[in-house]
Amino acid sequence: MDTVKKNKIVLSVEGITKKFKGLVAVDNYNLQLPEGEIIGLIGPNGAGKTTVFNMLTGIFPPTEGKIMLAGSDITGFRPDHIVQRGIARTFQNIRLFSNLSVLENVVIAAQIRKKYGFISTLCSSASFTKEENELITKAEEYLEALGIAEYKEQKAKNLAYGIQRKLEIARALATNPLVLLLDEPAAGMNPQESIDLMHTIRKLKDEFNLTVILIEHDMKVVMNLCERLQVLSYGKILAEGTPEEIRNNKLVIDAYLGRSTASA
Amino acid sequence: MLSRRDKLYTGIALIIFLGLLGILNNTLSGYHMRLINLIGINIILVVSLNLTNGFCGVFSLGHAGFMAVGAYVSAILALPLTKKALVLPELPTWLGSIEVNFLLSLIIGGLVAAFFALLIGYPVLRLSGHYLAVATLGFLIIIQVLITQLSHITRGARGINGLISYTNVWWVWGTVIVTIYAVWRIVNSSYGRGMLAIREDDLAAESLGINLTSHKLLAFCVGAFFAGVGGALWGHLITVVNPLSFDSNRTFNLVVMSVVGGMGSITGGVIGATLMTIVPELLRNLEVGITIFGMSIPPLYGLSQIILAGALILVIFFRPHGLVGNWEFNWNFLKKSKNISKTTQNL
Repeated sequence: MDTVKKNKIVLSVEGITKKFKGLVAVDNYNLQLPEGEIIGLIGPNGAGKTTVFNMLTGIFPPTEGKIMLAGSDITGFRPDHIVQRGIARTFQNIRLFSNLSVLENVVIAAQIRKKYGFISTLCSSASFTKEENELITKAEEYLEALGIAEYKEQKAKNLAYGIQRKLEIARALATNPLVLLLDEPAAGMNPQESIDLMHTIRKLKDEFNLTVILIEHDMKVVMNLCERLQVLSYGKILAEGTPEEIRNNKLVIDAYLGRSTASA
Repeated sequence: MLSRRDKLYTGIALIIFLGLLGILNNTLSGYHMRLINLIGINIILVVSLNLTNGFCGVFSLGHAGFMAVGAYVSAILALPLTKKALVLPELPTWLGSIEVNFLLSLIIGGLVAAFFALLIGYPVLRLSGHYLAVATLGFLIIIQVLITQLSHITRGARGINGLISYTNVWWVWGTVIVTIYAVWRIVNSSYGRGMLAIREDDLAAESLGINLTSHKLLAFCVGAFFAGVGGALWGHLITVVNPLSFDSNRTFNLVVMSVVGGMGSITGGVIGATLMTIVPELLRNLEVGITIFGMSIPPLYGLSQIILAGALILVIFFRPHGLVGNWEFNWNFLKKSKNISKTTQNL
């Protein structure tokens, strides 16, 4: 724990706010995220958790506030630029390229760093072939890391739900991010699958040197995985602290956890 | 990527095909050769349309507009100076005093069409789905109005006639090969994968670092380039270009070919274009009256249209993704019978 605290801040969010016309979806959200930490973002449905992700990934710009990634301001950047800078995400409702193969799904993400140009594509030049082969090898490594390499030829839409979730993580990883945002990765999984996923996330974090923000309703996953939690309610940060602190926080119990889950 | 074996097979198939074309060129009548050329031109148009509409999912109805641009540019550039003075006396002097060779006029025609695609694509490609289709249809109408109104360059509604019939089987099928090669290269590269990703889910694609605008523009411009070249070939095949040849009907014909064959496939484009060029010609024979066993059936005008429309409904009903769907032609069917043991060993 102590080592984590000494790490430098990789993502710093200062007072971002999102207003949709009259509705304030997220109000003054702050985050200082040290390198290598897993932080959990929890709260009731409609609290604004996914809106925070959407702002961090540029899907819509914040109305106010500032987002700094590794020291540079990325507020208002387009999604494709932000992912190039190093924030990758998965989606709450899985968004795979359903009619493409598992391998293609990951190669599309890995090609973010490709260098060959249009002319070498048309001529099928040596550098093109070499880079394409490298992309495929790289994509296979990510599939391997998530243990889903055996499905690489299958169409994404034909995969079981749990595998689709893993593929989405593999795809986000393939962009080689500094910070990985996971939006309810355990949603719809059975208890055993959730536990597997927990181990996988922890393993990936170490292997790829990741910093993770996790939105999750499965308290077992959240409490075990996260070093720190933020609770959102009605767009505001209700509480922040270690899992232990959050579990015993009266406000959080009333707003979200309820009495029985608090003892989980 | 092709293996060495696939390259060999493709090379052999190409040589056989070109040889066959050479033989047909010397034996078939003018009517049949024109049909073969029309098939080729339609393949160019539909395969390029598939890149935009099928692979990238940018559903454009402006293809005939790009054809028109290419056809007119090439027609004006390639018209011999003597004829130019006669047919287009009001041309600006710099245009009136140049005559370029056919190849160059094709390329410039295609490039100008691509430039138009760039101009209208930048604002229009922000739209999606039906809105985009309507906007591109609007572009088609603008092009038609421009051609009709700029009569000192285009001779307005009269069109430019007396073009030299440069287009022959080699020009057409040479361009077919170039088109298929270029589209195939693009589809099997990061550019093509980016387009597919945009078609499947643009939000996810953008969140994985794919620049939506540049990929859509690339698909749109390359599509327009080959539409322009196809239009130019077509103009020099029938030796006349006029605004009515490039109306919404033509766009819809191309879209039908693309949908029937399979939008997300080069093979589908080839098959759709071929079938939808040949079948209407064959059906036309039904419209002449015949006499069977003393009973005379009068010519039934419009029958071919009805049959064609019925067939289309059946195709869409039973094969909603087109005849071949997303399938691409490959040489694997030759391998299966002989090399099964070999491939399993390699695995």
